Parts: sequence; structure tokens; C-alpha cells
Amino acid sequence: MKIKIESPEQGIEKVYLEGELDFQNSQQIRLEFTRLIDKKPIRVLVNLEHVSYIDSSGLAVFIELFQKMKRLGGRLAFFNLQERVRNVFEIAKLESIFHLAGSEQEALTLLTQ
Amino acid sequence: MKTVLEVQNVHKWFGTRRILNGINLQVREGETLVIMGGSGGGKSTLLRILIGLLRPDQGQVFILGKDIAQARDEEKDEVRKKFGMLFQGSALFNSLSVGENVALPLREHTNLDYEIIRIIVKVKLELVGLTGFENHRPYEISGGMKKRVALARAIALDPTLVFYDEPGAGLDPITASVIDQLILDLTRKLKMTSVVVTHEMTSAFRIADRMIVLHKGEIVASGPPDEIKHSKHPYVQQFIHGEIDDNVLSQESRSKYLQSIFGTEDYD
Repeated sequence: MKIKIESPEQGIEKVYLEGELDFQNSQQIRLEFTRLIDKKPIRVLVNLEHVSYIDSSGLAVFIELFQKMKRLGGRLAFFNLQERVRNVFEIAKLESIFHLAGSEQEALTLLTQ
Repeated sequence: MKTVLEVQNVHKWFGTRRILNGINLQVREGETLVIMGGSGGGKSTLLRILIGLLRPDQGQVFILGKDIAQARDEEKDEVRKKFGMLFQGSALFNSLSVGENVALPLREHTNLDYEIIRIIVKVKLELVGLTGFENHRPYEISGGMKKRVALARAIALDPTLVFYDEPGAGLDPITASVIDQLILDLTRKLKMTSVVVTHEMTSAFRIADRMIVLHKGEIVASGPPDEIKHSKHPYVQQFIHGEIDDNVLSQESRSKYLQSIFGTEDYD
């Protein structure tokens, strides 16, 4: 799994993930998210366009990121989810809790509402 | 679609009693196969062979390409990580809480952090409708709840294949349908493959993509639910409609019974 994080402006972090997020690598992604949280961002946007699969550990890492952002008073959104990845959120009954957007623009709008 | 499970010409004998006679079947990714049949028909033996608890006397069982029937114990352990198993009796540890039971495979087979495991356990328990029961002990909850905990544990590692042994047995119809719905969701949304051994007709026809009917160790019918429902095979019709088999229950057993009492076939 590849991860790239950009900070286009103060307080905003854009995360690009690529590959499969599973038991083998979720711990590594979690560490990256911990570093990201240390920067105390206001908004985090995660692009999942190139993520073909997440398992329960991947979902748990996202849930933890969501919890930490909430504690910071920041906001988190995911966008460009493949159907199989969206299904994982749905089956866990969390699709209405997370901000899941169809595009980066929609994600930004969701976070600024 | 790739083949997840393949059984080739499996035979099994217990002493002089033939239990399975040349079983062949294939299950593809994302498919739900229901194995039906009466008591003594061979379905439990077949299930034990499929999960590597019993070796067949002849034949092969490929799970994700690996022959579990001939594998060494350590190889079997590797294959077993890739599938989940829901046992009929739930098989929970009474010394552990509900949450710890679900967490067990995650602690044993992954290096995940405690906090991540805690979140996964909460998600899995919600899937089976048991949010808030993490700290209960198995002996403090009902049989239906135990079965749901066992299911949460069976899917803890997100297996690609799950075996279910009588998932609805002993459950009230509403709880049984909750389990059925979960099997359907896991299959359709996560492409999980399911092999379900059951004799509960409502459940079988609700969840199956394909069914096989085992009788006297042989597959007597195989196909989609509609085809099985309209099968002309007398045993299949008898089994589906719960009719008494006069031949099996009376003549054969009566003959053995009289022989066992009189010690001879000539008792007239």
C-alpha cells in the first residue's frame, strides 16, 4: 500500500492511498495517520480512488482517524471510493457517519458546510 | 470467477460403513453453496473433511488452490487462516468475555494494536446485532446470542470463505433470519464465499445460490434453488417436504431389528 500526504494550505491535509489496505499493512498506514494528527489539521481529505480493497483492520484505522479528528475539532472526508470499498462502510453501518463523497470538490463542500 | 473450493472424488469409510461415495463439487468466489441432506447422509463428515479435521480415504479437497486433504498440519494451519468456521455448538470460551472471544483470532494471527482490535470487535459485534455485549461472558447470554458471537468470531479475520454448520439450528425464526441476512450481505457486498450445511428449508432456499442434496453419501441433486425445488428425485422431494420414507424407516430398519433380536433372517 502506498501513501502520499500533501498540505496544499495551512490546516488542510490531502491523503492519497493506493493498493489494498489490509491486516498486512494497516499498522503502517496507522503510523502515517498518527504523524498527520500530530500536525493538528482542521480538514483531512482522503482520496480512495486507487484503493481496491480494505478489510476490517483498514476500516478500524479509518475509524480511529475519524475519532482523533473529532477530538481535535477537525473534519474528515473520503472521496472517490470504489464500490467494494464503499460496501465495507455500508456493511459496518458507518456510511452515514463518515463523509463519503463522489469527488474531491464534493468532499471539500461537505467539510465546509 | 475463480474457484475457491474444489472437491474431487472424495470417499470416506468408517469401518465397513461407507459414508461418502465419490463427492465432486466446486464453489466459486462470492457464491453461497448450501449442502442439504438428512441425518446420516454424510453432510457433517463432508464438512469435517472440507475444513481439514478428517482425511478422506480417497480424493482431494482444494481450498484456494491448496489441497487440505493431503496437507501437513502446519500447512493446514496456513490454509485455516483463510477461512472461517461457524460451529453448530458455537464453541466459545466461557473463561473469556464475548469481546475477547471475537478478538481471539485477531490476537493470534495478526500484529494489530490493542485499540484497532477493540474497534474491529465492536464493528463485528454490531454486524451480528450484539453491540454492548463485549463484556458479557458466554454463559450469561442466550444460545442464539452465542451463535451470533461465534459468527462474529468466524468473520473476525475477514476470511474469503466461511463454513457454517447448521447456522439456524436452535434459533427462533427471527434470529435465524438475521443470520441469513448477514450471510447474504457478506456474500453480496464483500464477495465472501459461503458453504452452509443445513436442513432448515426456509433458510436454505433464502440464502443459496446453489444447492446440493446428499443422500447415503452421494450427491443426488445439485443446482440452483428453483431447480432443486422442482427436482423429480424422490428423496429430494421427500426431504424438502418432510415426508416419511417408508422404505428407509420401515423395511430396512425392521429387517435389521428383527435380525438383531432373532439372530437370523428366518424369523417367520
